[in-house]
Amino acid sequence: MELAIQLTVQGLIIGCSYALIAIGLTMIFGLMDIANFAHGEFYVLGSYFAFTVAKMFTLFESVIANYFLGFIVGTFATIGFGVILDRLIFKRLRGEPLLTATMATIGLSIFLANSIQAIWGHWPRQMPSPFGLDPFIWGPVVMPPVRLFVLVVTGLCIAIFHFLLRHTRLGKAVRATFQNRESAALVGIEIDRVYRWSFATGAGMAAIAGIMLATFMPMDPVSGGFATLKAFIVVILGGMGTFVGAIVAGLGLGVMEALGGGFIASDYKDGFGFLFLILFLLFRPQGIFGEE
Amino acid sequence: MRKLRGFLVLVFAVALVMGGTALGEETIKIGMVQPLTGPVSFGGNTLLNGARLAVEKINDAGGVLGRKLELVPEDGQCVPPKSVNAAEKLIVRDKVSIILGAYCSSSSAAVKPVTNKYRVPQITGVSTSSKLTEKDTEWFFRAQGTSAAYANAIGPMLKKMGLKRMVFLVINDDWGRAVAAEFGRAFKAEGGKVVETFIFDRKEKDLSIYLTKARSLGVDSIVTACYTPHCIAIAKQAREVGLKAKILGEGAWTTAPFYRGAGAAGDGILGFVEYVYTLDNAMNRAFVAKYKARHNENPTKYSAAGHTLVNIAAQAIQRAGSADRKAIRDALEKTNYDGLVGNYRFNQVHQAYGFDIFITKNEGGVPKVLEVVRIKKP
Repeated sequence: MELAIQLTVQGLIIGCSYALIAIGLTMIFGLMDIANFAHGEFYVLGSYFAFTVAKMFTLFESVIANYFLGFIVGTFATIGFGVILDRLIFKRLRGEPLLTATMATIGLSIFLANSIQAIWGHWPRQMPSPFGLDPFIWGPVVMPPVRLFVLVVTGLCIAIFHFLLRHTRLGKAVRATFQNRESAALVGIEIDRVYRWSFATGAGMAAIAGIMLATFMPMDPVSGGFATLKAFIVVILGGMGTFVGAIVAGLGLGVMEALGGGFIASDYKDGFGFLFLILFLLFRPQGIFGEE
Repeated sequence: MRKLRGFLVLVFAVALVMGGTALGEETIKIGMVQPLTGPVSFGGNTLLNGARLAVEKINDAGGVLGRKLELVPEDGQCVPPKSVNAAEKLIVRDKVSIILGAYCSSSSAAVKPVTNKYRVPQITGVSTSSKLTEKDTEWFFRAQGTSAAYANAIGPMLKKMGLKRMVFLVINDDWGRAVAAEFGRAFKAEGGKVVETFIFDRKEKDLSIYLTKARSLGVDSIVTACYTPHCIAIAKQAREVGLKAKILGEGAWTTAPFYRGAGAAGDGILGFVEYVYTLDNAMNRAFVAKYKARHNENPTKYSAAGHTLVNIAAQAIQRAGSADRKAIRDALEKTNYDGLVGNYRFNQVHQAYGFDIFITKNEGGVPKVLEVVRIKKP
């Protein structure tokens, strides 16, 4: 029982990063109808931009300062990069058949992954961690400080996102565009601006997830594809186009993998996610929260 | 008629002489299938570095049979299909005389039928899965120990250390599974108990689930098989989940990027390694000095493997008296090479023996040798 609790907690934390990446993907997919297969690359870029500032151009003496500077710069650099990509590439993909856009994003993903490898090299890197290694022990739960950080930051991101969506004009515009693009344009909403901000948010969330994970897992240039795959599983399981679905499914996938890997079979850990995906596609293709 | 025959003989003789002179300038090509990109790229690249140093030394001394050696590296990425492509390209297009590789056991296993088919000698200096030298070794050689040999050598030591309950945390490929199988067997033979075996996928960087379960199972040791990124993850995440068990195993525990990535978390981990840069013999001192001057860091066991492979290959070519693949294969069987960690000879299934392996403990980012074990003839 202790083990189940501990594994559930760990699963939730990994699920946080799944949720963050999936929210971004939902935005892009739900709003722009583009299956962005290059989404995982934002997650990777975030960690590499942050790494560059935190470890390669160490501007401060203290690890903490370097880390958080890297965090902020990495996130905004990725957002900026995402906005540029939106202008250059995704703008031209809007309105194109889904297959065209998908092929373009797959190509983009390969290009970005190889560029990252060419620029930063292929050996494993690690964000310098300002967190101590020794964990907090609360009853049956062992919580390393860095993972608590992940939990807190994810919670903050989701809270801020929810606030922006519900209580700002831009958020209203986004929700309107989500519901019906043509009508939103008809009432004078600047669709282009909505898209740009949504893309920025999606890229930013992925970058934050990437930087946090890079703090306790080694980074490599080719992990983007895997992250994208997980994000798509989450989006489909949760219901395409619903943010609540992305969050619930993201956390749920994390927990499922942790419990499945820990109790059933370690070498089929990733298989559980796919198993649920297949079951859902067969019996409830709209996902948990999706509409028919 | 006699005039025509005489003329033909003259033409043939001239062609032979000219051909011979051209051959004299042609290099002897040594193909390498190694992971130059991907999660194991650090090892593959340091292996190439070690190999290049050896080739330079040989070429500076005049080469082999009056010809210079030429290394032709191809990126196998430690992925079997890519390694197969690399091998085929080297054999068919570059027409190499011998292939050194691959690195990961699964890739070596995939390349083996290719070298068998084209009848090209292949030597691996890194792969330890015992399966590789069990059969079909007509063209395949291994200048490295096997997980079985390590397990037999190390099993008694585990008992001496007082270890009783063990889990395995190994990567999902031929190497990882071999480590679990062989060390499990040896440990059980010494009366130990293997509580569980965790197998993780190479894309998996978060191993805390398994480390947590290991902690809850109350084991005193974790035996691992991991490449650099996963070794870093295990070292750090073991601390994070509050795991007190001893960590030991094959893998990248003594490489520079591991020390950089793991930091203090890497201390106390025991490694079963085929080489340490601190070895005090004349050949190694010279090797380390040259490597450090060139690459600004200490050579790894993979650099040593690269160096060993090239020297064994060069000696075989010399013995064969030609760059012919079959002649080299026959000459390899007579190998008696004194390298950085001891003497190398091949038995009837082309498995090397006679050299030393080391059990090291990480202390402050330096591998300290605890024990030296000689690999006996299998």
